[in-house]
Amino acid sequence: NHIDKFKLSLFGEMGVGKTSLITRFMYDSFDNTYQATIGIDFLSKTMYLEDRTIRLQLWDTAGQERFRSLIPSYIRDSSVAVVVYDITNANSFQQTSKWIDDVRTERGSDVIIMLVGNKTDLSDKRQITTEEGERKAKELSVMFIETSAKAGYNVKQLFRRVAAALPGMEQTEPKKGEMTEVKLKDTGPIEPEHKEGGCSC
Amino acid sequence: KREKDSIYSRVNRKPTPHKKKTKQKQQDGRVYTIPVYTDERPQGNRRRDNRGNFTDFEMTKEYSSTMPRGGFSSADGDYDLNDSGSWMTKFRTLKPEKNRRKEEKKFKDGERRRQKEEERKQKEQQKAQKKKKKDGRPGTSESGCKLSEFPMSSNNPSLPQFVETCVEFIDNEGMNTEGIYRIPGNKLQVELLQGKLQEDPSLDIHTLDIQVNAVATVLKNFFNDTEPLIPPSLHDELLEAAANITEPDDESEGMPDKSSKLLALRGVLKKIYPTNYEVLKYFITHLKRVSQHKSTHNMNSSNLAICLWPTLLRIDFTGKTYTDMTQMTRLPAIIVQTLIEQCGFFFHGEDEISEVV
Repeated sequence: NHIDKFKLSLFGEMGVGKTSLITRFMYDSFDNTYQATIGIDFLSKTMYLEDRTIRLQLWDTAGQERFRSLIPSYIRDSSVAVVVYDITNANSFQQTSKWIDDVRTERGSDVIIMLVGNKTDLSDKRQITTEEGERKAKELSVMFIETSAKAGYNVKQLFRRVAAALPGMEQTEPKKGEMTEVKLKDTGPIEPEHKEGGCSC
Repeated sequence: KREKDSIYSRVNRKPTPHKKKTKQKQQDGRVYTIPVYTDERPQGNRRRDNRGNFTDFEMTKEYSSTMPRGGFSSADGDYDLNDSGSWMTKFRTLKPEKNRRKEEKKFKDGERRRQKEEERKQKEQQKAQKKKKKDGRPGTSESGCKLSEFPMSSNNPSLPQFVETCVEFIDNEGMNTEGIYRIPGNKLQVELLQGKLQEDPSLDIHTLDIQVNAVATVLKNFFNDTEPLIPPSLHDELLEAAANITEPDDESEGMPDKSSKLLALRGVLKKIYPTNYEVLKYFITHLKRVSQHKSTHNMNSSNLAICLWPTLLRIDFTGKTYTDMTQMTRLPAIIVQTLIEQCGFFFHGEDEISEVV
């Protein structure tokens, strides 16, 4: 009964709701006290998928800019990077490009990246439309979802979609709608084969 | 497995070593698009585009001229005729434009990654060198400008005008802003204000259309870019004093009570270089005022400490992992939280420690 373990890390500016997303997913609750995250926490959760069981290690990070230099060491063994922004804060949205860039620099295409627009419950303060989020996700070829940790909207789906995209032991053909994963995997191992011999056959 | 077999039977030949490799890799769990051997193989002048669809393409000069009539020559000059010897097999060896572009891109990506890696290493080295240079003189500049080199406020000769301008604006405008000092300001506004304040530190921020979060970020950046407010040479002493504070109070005879533990911490703070001490005093006193409005902006002393200790206590994380950091974050946050809560005791000569509500 082998259970695959995967490390998932959350990134994003301070106050976008990284900890709240984890709390909602782990305990299906929302903590109304406003509390900045100190350092880093990690929690584990087992997930049952259609064809297998996996264990997700969720790493919550403090969004402090001073810690950015630590990201490389932190992302190195992560399979998934969840990059969160606050739909009511345009700045947090702009900064996601930088986070995604940092992750890509470290891991290339060896990592699943999910862009998350959180706080959809604050629709009257919305500054970033769903379309803008989708567009950016497409541009950077990452997955995309909008959530509300407070209202419990789409949080399970977020983690389920990420889990479904993880490489399995017997991976079947990747599903069609999810182009991202195909891209992820087809770049890695092929290259050395072409390099090994002068002729590729 | 059957599917793979059928793939090979369809093309009616044994896989070449290259293809075997592909197959092995697939078995050990990694998945990627296999160079495809389906019955949809290119016919005539067709090739796959990057979505996997076949498109017609013109036989380019490049292709036709490099394509010997009898097949393609391999590196050793022999024509590469495998079992099937079909034209398409050789066609595939030509690495169509798409593949070449892909490889170029991958090469560039790799190059870029290597470059960034090198840059990081260089930076780490530079930091390490700087670290060596410092020899424990409190208040001297290890990185960034000395605070005393900035234009000073007319109200306080040891307070940079830059700091005063920002703090006064936040005092006036920031008390209702949720997450002040936590939520970063808009990048453009931050850059704009930084530039303007460098030109004229006594500028009235109200004349610019700038959100208070951006002002808080500018102030944070200022402290991050100048010499550390609290000199790194004092970090160990501070952490030691803080470790005592976190010990549960022992009421039994002969044990130090809470205020005497804080007194030890106050003693360490007094060692800070005068200008830095004045600025720290001014800033912490401001944070105390901010924390008193916690009901409107949710930033109590603990939250403020979590968001600001990395700026005030510039602990060097070079070469540290996130896990190391977790262990290193608790005490510094407690120091800053204690400074804010007991601001009167530490900086304004009050003898009694105040009760924390």
